[in-house]
Amino acid sequence: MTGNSRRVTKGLLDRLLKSQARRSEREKRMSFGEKLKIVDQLMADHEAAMKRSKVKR
Amino acid sequence: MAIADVLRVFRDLKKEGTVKDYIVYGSIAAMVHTRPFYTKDVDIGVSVASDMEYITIFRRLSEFGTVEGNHVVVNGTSADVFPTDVSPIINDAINGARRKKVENVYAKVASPEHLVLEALRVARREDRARVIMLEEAVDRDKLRELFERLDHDGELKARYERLTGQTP
Repeated sequence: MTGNSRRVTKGLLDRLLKSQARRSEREKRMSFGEKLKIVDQLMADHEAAMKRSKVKR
Repeated sequence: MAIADVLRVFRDLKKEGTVKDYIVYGSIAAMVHTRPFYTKDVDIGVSVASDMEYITIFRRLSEFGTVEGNHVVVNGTSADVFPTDVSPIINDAINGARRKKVENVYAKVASPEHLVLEALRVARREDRARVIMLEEAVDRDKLRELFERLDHDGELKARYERLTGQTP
């Protein structure tokens, strides 16, 4: 990261990065079952998106 | 769609003796040691003593889902099923792998160190990304021990060093 963005303040960036790190830690500590449920949902969402894109074509 | 359904099928096949042993590896196993992320299928290694044993597993799997090549789809979730012999690293991983519980199913899951070596062996773009992702989960001593034991020509170690910029 170059840190040369002038559009948002350093304070906001710090808060967002900390929030991202906390979420990352929380996800890492999830049980195998909890993680699988998330992956199941991601797989289902992906399949639904693929079907939608086929219909559009 | 549920990965747990696939694992439940393999638990039942093991119970009835069709499968001697199996291990989850690839992206689902990597996720166990890191964070959840999208993947298109589950990689399962089965311990078999012959081609016939492998074929028998697929004949039985066809009663639980749709089979195509080395691929089975159970309740909308697809699994790639390989003999553990496909890789000396997976063959090694199944011995002493830790079991993880999900919905009353205990499944053996490859260690992060084995996953790093296997990803270096396969070395597609997503595998290279997996090596980086698993960096935070590996035990350095175990990783070094695996390189010494399984990477006979030093090729995997060289790939690791090129990819991460550090020695194992």
